[in-house]
Amino acid sequence: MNAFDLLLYLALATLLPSLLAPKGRSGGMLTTLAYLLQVWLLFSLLPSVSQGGSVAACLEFAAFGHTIGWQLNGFGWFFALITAVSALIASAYATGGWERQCDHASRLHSLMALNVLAMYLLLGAADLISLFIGWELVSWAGFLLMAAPGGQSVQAALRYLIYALAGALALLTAIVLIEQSSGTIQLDALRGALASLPDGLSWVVLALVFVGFGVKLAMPPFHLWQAPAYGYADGPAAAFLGAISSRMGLFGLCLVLVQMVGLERLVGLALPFSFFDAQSLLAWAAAITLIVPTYIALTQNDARLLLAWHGIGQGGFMLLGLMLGNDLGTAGGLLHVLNHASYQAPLFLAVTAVVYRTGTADLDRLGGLIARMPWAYVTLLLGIIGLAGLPPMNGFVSKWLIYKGLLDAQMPLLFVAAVIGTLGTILSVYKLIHNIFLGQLRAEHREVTDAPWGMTGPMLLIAGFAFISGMLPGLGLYLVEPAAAALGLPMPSFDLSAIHAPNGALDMLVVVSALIGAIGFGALLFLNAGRSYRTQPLDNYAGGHFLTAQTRYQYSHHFYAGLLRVIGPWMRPWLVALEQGSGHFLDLASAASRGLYYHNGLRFLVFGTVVGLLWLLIVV
Amino acid sequence: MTQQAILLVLLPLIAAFTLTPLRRCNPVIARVAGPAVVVSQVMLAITLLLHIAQLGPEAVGFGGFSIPLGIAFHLDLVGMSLVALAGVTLLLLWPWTVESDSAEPSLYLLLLAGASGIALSADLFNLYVFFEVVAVASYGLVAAPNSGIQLYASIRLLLFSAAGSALALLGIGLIYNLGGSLSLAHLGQVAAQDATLFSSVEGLSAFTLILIGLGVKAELFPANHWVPEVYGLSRPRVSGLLAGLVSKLALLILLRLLWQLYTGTGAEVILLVTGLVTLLLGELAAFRATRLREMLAFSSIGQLGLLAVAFSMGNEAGVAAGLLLALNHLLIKPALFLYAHNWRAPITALGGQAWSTPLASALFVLMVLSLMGIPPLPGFWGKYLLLKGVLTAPTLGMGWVVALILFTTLVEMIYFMRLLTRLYAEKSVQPIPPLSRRHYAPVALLGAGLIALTLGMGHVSTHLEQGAAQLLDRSGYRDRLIPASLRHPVNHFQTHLQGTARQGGHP
Repeated sequence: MNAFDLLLYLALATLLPSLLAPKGRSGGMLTTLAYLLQVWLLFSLLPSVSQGGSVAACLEFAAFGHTIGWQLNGFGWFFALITAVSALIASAYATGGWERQCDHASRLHSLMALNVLAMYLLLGAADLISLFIGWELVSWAGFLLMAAPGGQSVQAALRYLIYALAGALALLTAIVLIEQSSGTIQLDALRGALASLPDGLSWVVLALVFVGFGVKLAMPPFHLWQAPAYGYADGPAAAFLGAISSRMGLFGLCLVLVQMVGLERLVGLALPFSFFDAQSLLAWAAAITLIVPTYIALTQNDARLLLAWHGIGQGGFMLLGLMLGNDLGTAGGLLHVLNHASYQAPLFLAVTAVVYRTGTADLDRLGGLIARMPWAYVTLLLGIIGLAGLPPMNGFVSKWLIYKGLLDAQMPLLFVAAVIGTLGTILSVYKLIHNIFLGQLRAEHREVTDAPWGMTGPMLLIAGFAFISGMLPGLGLYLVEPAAAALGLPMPSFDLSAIHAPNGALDMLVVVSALIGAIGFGALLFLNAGRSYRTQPLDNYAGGHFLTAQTRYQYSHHFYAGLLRVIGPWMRPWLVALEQGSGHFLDLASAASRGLYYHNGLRFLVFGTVVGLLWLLIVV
Repeated sequence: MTQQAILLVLLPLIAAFTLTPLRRCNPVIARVAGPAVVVSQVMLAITLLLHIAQLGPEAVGFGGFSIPLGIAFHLDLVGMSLVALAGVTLLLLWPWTVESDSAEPSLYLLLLAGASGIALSADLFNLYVFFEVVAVASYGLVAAPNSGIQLYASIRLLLFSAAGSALALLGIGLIYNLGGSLSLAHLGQVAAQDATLFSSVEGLSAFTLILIGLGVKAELFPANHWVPEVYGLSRPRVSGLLAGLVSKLALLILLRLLWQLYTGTGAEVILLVTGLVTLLLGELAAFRATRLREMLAFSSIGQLGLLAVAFSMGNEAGVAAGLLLALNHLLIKPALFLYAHNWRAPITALGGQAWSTPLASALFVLMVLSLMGIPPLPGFWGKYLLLKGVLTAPTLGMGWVVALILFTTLVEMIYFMRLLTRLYAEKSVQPIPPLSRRHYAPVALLGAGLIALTLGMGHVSTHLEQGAAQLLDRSGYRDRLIPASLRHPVNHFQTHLQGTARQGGHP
């Protein structure tokens, strides 16, 4: 039994504590401990999966002439590590205090453990069937986790599941096509095997795979489900899902596009009657993923939904980087998976902490909490700097790599698209932090304090990692290396703080020093400027009139009114209408079909027979 | 040893008719005798099944007459498994609690005799007779409680079945006219020698008529209008038997006909189109079903349509898919109908019912998931093989078939998921137990069968592929059934028959 077997057994055992001890905190603590062990086991696997190695599990069975098994390589390992750490943080956060307000804590813990197990089974798939089994398990486990709180989250989760099941059907079709055209289902044997498919079949397989995996990545036009499904989940679950869950789609997409088809083939696959080839088409799909959900996020009034919409957009960045095929793009795309998890989790956790204390995530009903919940503020601040991709956080490094990769690959238009996406991100994360923490404190939040240390600790820890790995990007790239090696993609050379590119390097220590210098300079100016005086965050003063705290001066509703007046006409929810319309169409078709069955029974038998025979007369 | 195969039919048939007089003499023995006969029949079937699995399929002629005069059974993996499964299903759904003067045990035995006959017979005449035996047994079962509503349902079923039987008989007559024989093997030989014989308008009309006629029981469009009504009105055991068992029997007759006579004649397309229409209408109708029973009835139509599509592919993967999906459906549908008996309230009123009985509800979920085709349950392998079968089939337009299969599967998934989320909704209502006390055992055993099938998929898969290969093996079928002296060269009797058939005369 090797470490991968142990990991799978341990992931299975992680389900147990909260099932066996549904009351009290011991279940959560044991679960957290189990995640810690999983992280340790994953690190012990690192030597065997780096440089393209892999570890096979003893779990396997045979059916219909195939041997179905599991085998973890560096690519899966990278995602598995992020999964384990996200679960560890979320579980510690829940156990640390959050679950005191939750009546289904044991369900949450066991379902999260189920998600982790399902993801390991997906990430360690050795063939297409085990990949599909893992894929379905991830969908179902995700559905259960999203639906755990009940109420509106069940509807959101059900919507997710319907999208996911549709995607899975497309994927199954693609798997059968791949099996038939190449004669094997073993992922190792399929490396590069799809490069020689004829054009038509290639497009069919690509489209099916794109639908299958793209649904999980919530790539437009399949993006409607994700924000409510993640946002309305339990706080820690939302952090876990937001950090890693939809990356499973990226994993699958890369497996097929990069490993089986190969980027060269994608470039060679021209779309008839257009300037596009498959690679640029995918890159543009990624760019749309990056822009559209980001600007939808801008209009959200629920902090959780806002974050969840951003999660979709960042997935576009990752895919964009990975589609480039050059060393900087690859490193940026993969590193962004890690970095995104490391700032998205604390963002969700900080918002959850605010909800824990104030009972709302409505951006119109918050404000001024900076003095009441300073640690949540710090976490959120670090998180949004990362999300916006600004120095000194790690989000900057991965985005810089992707920008540079785009310029290296001579794709300036995509670079512009990425910048437009980033601009939207900056605007909307400012709205987030402003409406929650800045401005006037609401009277009902006067007594609010920071969340208990059991919650604040884990979120600060992971936000701290996001800061440190921004200063020392080598830490993250060291973990990315096995993944790139397993995919067979190039990596730039790097050391602990710097990344070397032929035309200009990035040394984060220099960037951070410059930044600290600038902040220090600003502080000096501030301290030497004229006198300042402190006011209470409840104070309100306007035009010479003293108003009570009930009169709000904080501008929060319809935050970017001017901008939305410009871009609003392009943001009609036609896709929502389309989704509802297909539901209605299905209802209608169903009613028609039922009508057929409840009337004219025997007449149909006679009619059908006659028509059938007449048809024969005509055709034969 | 294989000569004992006749007992598979005779034993339940004789028992069915002796049960009533026996009851007059000794009610206690009569009560035990029925199940005892089924058990012994199942044991015999399993013995023969193991024999066949080792030595391959065998033909059994009776009374020393050979084809074309005598009648014969053909024992293959699929047929024998169906016999054993029929016995097991009937035993699981046995009417233990009915009054001692009920005719139900006899009807069960009659159904078993008919099922065995259909699974094993190798000529159209016997197939038709046994099919009628099954049909009579099913009217009786639907009507057995003697209440007004169930009599109504049974008359609906009777009307459709009578119309169907007439059409099927017409079709069989046409085939006899064309081929001059009713033995499937013999007809197959005729078809092999003259490829155009059954692809004529007359031949294909015969197939269409039989398809529609047997489609009454196989729940195929346009003959399946009785399904929602009858399943909604009759007792859950009976609905389960009709949906699970009887439909598969009708389908098996169609398949034997299709592969012995109609290979490459275009009849596959007719079956395919019928299957697709059935699939689409059934799944769409189930989408807005208001009660669980109605949903199951329509989903059963959809599943049968899917089976027809799978079998119409005519390749090994498609047939294996059909067999696996049929087995899956046979295990699951009866159990689900038993659930639907207690959960007969409108679905909207079932909110939160699953929480009251976690274990029974979990089994329900497992079964529904397998119907939906979620891995690693058997339904998934069925769908996987089906896609494989469709995508290897050389016919044009298979993209549309795949699209339709995927669409209907998605529709099925949506309505089942809506049902499940409602069952698991958090609502405090007075709990309705999902199963009556006497329904627990059959459901648990069927569920255990499903789990065993899931775990043993590795073993099952090889047998499935063998079974599919045997079903498709035309020359082997003929070689086993037709004595060597009649095989080559073509004898005069046969050429004479064909000659008269061409001229439109009667042989």
